[in-house]
Amino acid sequence: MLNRLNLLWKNHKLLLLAFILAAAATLMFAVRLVVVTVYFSNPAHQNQPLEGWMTPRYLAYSYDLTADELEQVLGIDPTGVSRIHLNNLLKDQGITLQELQSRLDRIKARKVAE
Amino acid sequence: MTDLLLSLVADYGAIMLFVTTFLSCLAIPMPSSLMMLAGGGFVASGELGLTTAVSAAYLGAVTGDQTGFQIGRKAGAWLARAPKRKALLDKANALTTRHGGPGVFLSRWLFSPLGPYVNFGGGATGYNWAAFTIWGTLGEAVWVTIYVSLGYLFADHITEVADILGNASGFLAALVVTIGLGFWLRYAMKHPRKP
Repeated sequence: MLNRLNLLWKNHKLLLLAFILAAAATLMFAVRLVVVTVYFSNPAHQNQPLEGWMTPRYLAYSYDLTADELEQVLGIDPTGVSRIHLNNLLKDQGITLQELQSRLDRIKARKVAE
Repeated sequence: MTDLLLSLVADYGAIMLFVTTFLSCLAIPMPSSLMMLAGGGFVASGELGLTTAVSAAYLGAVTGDQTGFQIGRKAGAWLARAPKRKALLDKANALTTRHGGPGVFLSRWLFSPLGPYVNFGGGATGYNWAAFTIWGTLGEAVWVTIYVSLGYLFADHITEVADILGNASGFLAALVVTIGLGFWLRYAMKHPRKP
C-alpha cells in the first residue's frame, strides 16, 4: 500500500494532490451540510433575521404582518414604498436594522401571547 | 456584496437576475442561488412577476452557458496549435462525446458549482454544440425552476434554504470531482508510464 502510494507520489504528484484536496473539500462540505441542517432543524433558529435588501411588502409577506403591524415596524405608512428596500428606508429615517428587528420581535412576541 | 446585489433586485427587478445567472455561468463568483431564491420570494410578495423572474434567470443562464462555451472553443483552438496538446484535447473529445450529454445536464443543477468549467471544457474539447445546447437548456430549466420555486415557497426562510442548498451542491460537486480523480489515479496506477 505504502509502496504504491510512494510510486504514485513520485509519478503523479499533481494528480494525487488534487485528489487529496477534492476529498478534503468533500468532507468539509459534508460536515458543514450536517451542521447547518442540525442548526436549522431547531425551531429556535428558524426565524429569518431582517435583512437590508428586503422590501416592506416582502417583510409583510414573509413575517405575516398586517398593514397596521407593518406600519408599526417601519414607523411610516408603507403604502407606495413597496419597491424601496430597507437599506434605503432606514437611511432616510436615521434608524438601524437592529432597531427595526427589535420592533418586529416585539410584535411577533405580542402575537404569540395573544 | 450579497446584500448589495439583493438590494439591486429590489431596485431594478428581474434584470439583476439575468446579470447574476449570466455571470455565474462564466465562473465569476455570484450568489446566484440566493438571488434566484430571493427572486422567488419577491414573486411571492407580489413585487416580481413569475414569468419575468423565471425567464430573466433562465435567459441569463442560457446565454452565459453559450458565452462560456464559445470562450472555451476559442481557447481550445489556440491550445490545439501544439500537437501534443491537440492529442490530449482529441482524447478528451472522445470522452465527452461518449458521456458529455448527461454531464452537461447534471452540471447545470445537481453539480452546479462545476457548470462554468463544463462550459469552458466542452468548448475547448470541441464537444458538439447542438448536444451542448439541448442538454444545457434542459438542465438550466431544472436549475431555475428549483431555485425560484423554493424561494417562492420559503420566502420566510431564504437564508436557511440557501445555506443548506449551497453546502449540498458543494458536497455533491466535490464528491463527483473526487470520484473522477480517483478513477484517474486508478488508471494511472494500472498503466504506469514507460520510462
